[in-house]
Amino acid sequence: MLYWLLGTVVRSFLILAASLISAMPWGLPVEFVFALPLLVFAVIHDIVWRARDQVLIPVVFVAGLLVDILVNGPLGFWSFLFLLGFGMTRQLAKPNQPQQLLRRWTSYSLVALAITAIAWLVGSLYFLKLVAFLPMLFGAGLAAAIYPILSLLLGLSHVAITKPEGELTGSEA
Amino acid sequence: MTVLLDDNFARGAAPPPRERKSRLTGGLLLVFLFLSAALMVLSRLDHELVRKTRTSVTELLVPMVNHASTPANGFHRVRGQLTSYFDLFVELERLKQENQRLRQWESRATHLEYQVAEYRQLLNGVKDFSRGFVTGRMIADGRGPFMRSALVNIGRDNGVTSGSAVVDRDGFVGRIVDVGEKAARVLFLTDLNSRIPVLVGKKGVRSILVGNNSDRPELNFLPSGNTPKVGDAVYTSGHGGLLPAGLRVGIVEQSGTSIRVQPHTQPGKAHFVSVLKFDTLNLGQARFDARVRRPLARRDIVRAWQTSPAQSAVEEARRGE
Repeated sequence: MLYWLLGTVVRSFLILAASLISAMPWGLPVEFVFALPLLVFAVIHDIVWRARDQVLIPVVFVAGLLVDILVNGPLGFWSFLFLLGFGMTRQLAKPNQPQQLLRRWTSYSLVALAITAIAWLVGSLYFLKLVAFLPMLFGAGLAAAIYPILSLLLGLSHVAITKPEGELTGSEA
Repeated sequence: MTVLLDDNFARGAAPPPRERKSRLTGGLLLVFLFLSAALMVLSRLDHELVRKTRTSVTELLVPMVNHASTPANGFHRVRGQLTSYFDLFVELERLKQENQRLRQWESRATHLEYQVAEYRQLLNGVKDFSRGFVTGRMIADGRGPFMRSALVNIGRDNGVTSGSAVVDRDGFVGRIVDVGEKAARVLFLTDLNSRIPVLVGKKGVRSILVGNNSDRPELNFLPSGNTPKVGDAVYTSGHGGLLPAGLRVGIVEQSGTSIRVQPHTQPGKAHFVSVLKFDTLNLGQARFDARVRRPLARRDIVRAWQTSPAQSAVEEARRGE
C-alpha cells in the first residue's frame, strides 16, 4: 500500500512538473511549440503503460488545465485532449501485456496522431475557421521522435519507486 | 446443477473487482471529459468567471513559474554564447559594416536634431513628453497553433496597465491584454486576435496590421490606390489613443493580393521586454467617465487639465521662454 501511495505521488508530481516545464520560454521556433504539450502527454502515456493504476484522472485533468492557463489557450482544451489520450492508452495498454519499448512507441505514435487530429478539429470548431494542420502534425512527429528518450528517462524513476526484489507495484504485479 | 453454479450466470452475481474498477474509471473519465468540454464552451463565450479564475490561478502560479524558468534562462544564455562563438567572424564583419553605416547616420541625425529644435522654437512648438517604462522577463511562453502570447513577471504593482505597448530592443512586440498584481499577459502582434493601427511607408498610409498566427502578419484595410512597396517601413500610428505613435513594427515583405510584414522582433525569442507607460490625456478620460457616470462638472475638467502631461509640457515650454 505504501509503495502504491509513493508511486502515485511521485508519478503525479512528474506529470505536473512536465506540464510546468512545457510552458517555459525555451525560445523554440513556433513549429516546435506544439510538441511540448504532447511531450507532457508522452509522460502520461508512459506511466499508464508502466503503472496504469497510479495515474489519477484528476491529475491528468489538472495537468491539462495547467498547460491551458500558462499558454493562455482555450481553457479545458489540453485537459480534454490529455483525458482522451489517457482513455485510448488505457485501451491499448491492457494489463499483463508485454511492455517493450517498440510497442509503447507505436502506441504513443498512434495516440499522438489521433490527439493531433482531434486538436485540429476542436481548434477549428473553437475559432470557427480551419486552423493550419501541418504545424500540428510536425509537432506530433517531433514528439513521437523524442518519445524513446523520454521513456528511457522515465524508466529510471520507475525503477526507483518499485518494490525491492524487483516486484512491481500496481497492475504489473 | 453443477454447470449452472459454475458458469457464473446466477442473477445478482457481482462483477469481478477489476471490471468494477474499470467501470468506475470509465465513469470518472467521462465526467472529467464533460467538465473539460464545459470549460471550453465557457472559455469560448469569454465568461467573466473563466477570466477571473484564469487570472487568479496565474497569480498563484507566478512565483513558482518564475523560479522554474531559471533553467530556461540558463539555456538561452548558453545558446547565445555558443551561437556568438560559432558565428564570430561573420558577426564581426557584419558589425563593422553596420558601424560604418551608423557613423554616417550619426552626423546626419545630429544635424536633423538641430534643425528640428530650430523649427520648434520658430513655431513655438511643444516638446513631446517622455514615456516611462518598466522592463520584465518572459516567464511562460504561450505560443502554439492557436495563440501567440507570453507571461511577463511585471504587473499592476509595477504600474503595468491593460492595453500598454510592449517593446524589446528591436521594436514593437505586442500589447498587454491581462494584468495581475505581479504578472501580465502579452499578446504578440502575430496572434490571430491582434489588430494594430499602423502607418506604412514615407507617405504614412493608414492601415491595420492583422495577426494570423504566422510569423508574417498582414496589412488590411489599405486605402484603394495605395499599395505599399516591398521594403516600406511600418510604424504604429497611435490612432485610437491606445498605443503610442512611432514604434517600429517591421517592413513590408510581400506585396500583391496579400501584403505581409516582416516584424523587426521575433516574438517568443525576446527574453526581456519593456512595457511603455503611455496614458492618453486625463482630460479625455475624465470626460468619458463623466459621460458614463454623472453630468460633466467644470471642476472635473479643470482638475484633469491641471494634472495632465500636456499641461505640464505647456508650462515647461512657457518657462523656457
